[in-house]
Amino acid sequence: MTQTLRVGDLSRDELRHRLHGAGLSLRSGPLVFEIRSREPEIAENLPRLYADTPLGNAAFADFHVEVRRARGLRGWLKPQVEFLIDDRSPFQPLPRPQSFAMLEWGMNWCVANHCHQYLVIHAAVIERKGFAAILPAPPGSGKSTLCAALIHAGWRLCSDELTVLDPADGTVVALARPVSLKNASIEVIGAFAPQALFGSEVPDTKKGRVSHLKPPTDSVENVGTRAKPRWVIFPQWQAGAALEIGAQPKSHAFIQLAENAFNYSMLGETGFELLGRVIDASDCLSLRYSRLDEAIAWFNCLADEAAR
Amino acid sequence: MPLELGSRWLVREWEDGAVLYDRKTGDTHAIDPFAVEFLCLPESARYDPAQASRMLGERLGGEIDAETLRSAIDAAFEQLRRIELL
Amino acid sequence: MIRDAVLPVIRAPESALLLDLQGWDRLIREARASNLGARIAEDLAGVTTADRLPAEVRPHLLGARRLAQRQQVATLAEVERVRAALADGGIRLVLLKGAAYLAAGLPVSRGRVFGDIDLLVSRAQLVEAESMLLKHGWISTHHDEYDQRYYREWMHELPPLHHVARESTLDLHHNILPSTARHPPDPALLLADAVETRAPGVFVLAPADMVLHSACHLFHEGELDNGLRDLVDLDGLLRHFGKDAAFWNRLDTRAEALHLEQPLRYALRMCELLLATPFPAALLAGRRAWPADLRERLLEQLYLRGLRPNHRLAGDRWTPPARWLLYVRGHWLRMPPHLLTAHLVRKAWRRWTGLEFRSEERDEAEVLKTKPRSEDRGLA
Repeated sequence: MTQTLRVGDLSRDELRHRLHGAGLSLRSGPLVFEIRSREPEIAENLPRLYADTPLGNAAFADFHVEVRRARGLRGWLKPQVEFLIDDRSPFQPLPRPQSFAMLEWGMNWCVANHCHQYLVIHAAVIERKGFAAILPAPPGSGKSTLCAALIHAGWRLCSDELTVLDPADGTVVALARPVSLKNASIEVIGAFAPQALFGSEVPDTKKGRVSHLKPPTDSVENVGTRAKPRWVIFPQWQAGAALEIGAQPKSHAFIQLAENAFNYSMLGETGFELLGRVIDASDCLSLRYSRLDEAIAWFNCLADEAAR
Repeated sequence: MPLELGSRWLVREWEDGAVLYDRKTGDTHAIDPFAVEFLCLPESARYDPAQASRMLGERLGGEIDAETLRSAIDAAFEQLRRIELL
Repeated sequence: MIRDAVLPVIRAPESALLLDLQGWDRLIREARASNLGARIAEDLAGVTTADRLPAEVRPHLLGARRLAQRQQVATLAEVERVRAALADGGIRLVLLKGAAYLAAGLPVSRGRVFGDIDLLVSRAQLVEAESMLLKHGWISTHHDEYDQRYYREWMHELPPLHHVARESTLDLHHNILPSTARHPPDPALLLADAVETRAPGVFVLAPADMVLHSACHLFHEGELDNGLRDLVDLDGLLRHFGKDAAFWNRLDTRAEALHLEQPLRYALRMCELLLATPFPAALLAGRRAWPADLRERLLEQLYLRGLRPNHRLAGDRWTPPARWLLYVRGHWLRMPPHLLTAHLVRKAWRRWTGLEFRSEERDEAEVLKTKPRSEDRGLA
């Protein structure tokens, strides 16, 4: 049996050759991205953060993306890069040092806007013992830090930003891509999981300092395993707060998921039925915490109870 | 299990609230359980407050006084009209 | 050879079943660029089953169909709201283009993707119509003074109106060609002959007028991103209405009355060339055989390239200059020459400095922000 080649198996030269030429094709769960770029930040961070990620099929890709120097007058004053999907640029260019972050955000955009075979929700989702916890949360809730910690404490990363649900059977589809962290979270996770691998840190983005965390190897290797939604948890980090769990009304959780979904209205009745199933099957809870270790212990309890 | 109200609406109810899908517009709304009861009434009753009052009064048992019931009906009608269900 | 993965599949959907994965990859990308993805997906659903298609391909077709189906539901609901808003001022709703095809239940609306809703009102009713729409929640876009003037003075439409809470965009037309065109068609004739659809109070243009509008829109347009899609619309309309033998005579007479013989001529020729659309030969050859002169020979070559997917993998080496020439032609047809240069220079400057597209592009920090839409939300 031939082993699937991974991004980490390519030599630096071969990687660069593909990025500069026909494109580097890699898989994220069921999706194939073909990436082209001459930006050094990308050639630097891709092999590090996507080392375990399998290469894709050169003949077919779901998304053909590129990050390249932006043209025009502004490009002369301050070098900028733009993200293109099949030669179309959906958003504003960014300063050149942010080119890898831009690739990540762009890839997220592709999934959020062009995957109507699924319902895609702006939420983190992690799995343990076959059960998935969906964490919808606005910025500032601490969701990313919590997610990054949990995946180094026994939980599998499905995604830190995009909860992908399959209407055919109501399961969670994992993507297992790098986790985006900002500002203090970077240090917090660095201390929590010293073995974790980070990409280059980018200063001065609109969100502050940004860095990407490599997905744990087992998360990438098990990306094909579906998970059953079991909890919808609304986390809120609050300095000094004792751990507090609240029950969320199911109708409220339903609306929250629908509002946080990118393409809920696109799926019409199918989306309504799907979210109904997910909410039916899930305990809907709010979580207030200040200590990561307490929150993690609680999560692990949840998983143990569910498995019984 | 989703409840089908006529061919136009799908409803999912839980203890604390309900959500409704409108096939005509593709819109989804959060509505309270009383509004769901209201939508279950036959079409004539929805536009006739007296009939609605009578039918809902029967369904809910005699414990609710007429005035409370009536204002709840008016509120539900207003709510549903605003989101274009009626 | 002019590369085009989409046209052969539009002409013969079963031919897609012979594609290898790389061929599918090209087809999907070019179809997406031409806004014909959903149309192809619907055509394929009619000739084959999902299991005969490669697994990699199925989600893209499904996604395209879902998008189109969703837009159809949303557009029909929106049409009803617009009708009600205009009726508030005693104005009749006459739809144009895609929304019209949908409201009239025409076969060409299958798999069609919708952007704005286009409607036609008389010049006299324009102010009242705009005020009714503003009253019901639509607001004007394009606040730049230059853009406002461009639209109001020179164009045949107002700057697009956007609804405050929903995402629908309306284009309010008072003619089907700019007032600077040499022989602008008389919109009163179009309005007088408008026919009611099955939805009471919702009107569309009469069949011949619908075809002529589509033709004149396509062959006056400089930006041809939707060129192939518009040609496919034309072909669909001609095939559907052409089943009635009397239609062709009507088309001929009406083209004359509206001074639209030339666009009709181009439309018939390009439909015949690219999509093998059947029509009575006399309609094209009747007055003068095609091509009548060097100009028509040149235009044919330009449109052979312009009416293709606007994608890197499609076209030939003459395609970029052809597109550019058609772009300039489009503007030349719409504007008096002395204003044209200034307009083109200003557009080029804005593109170069990044102003032109950026106002419509999203800020990347908001890239993943979901817009809570009032139609999806619970009650406020």
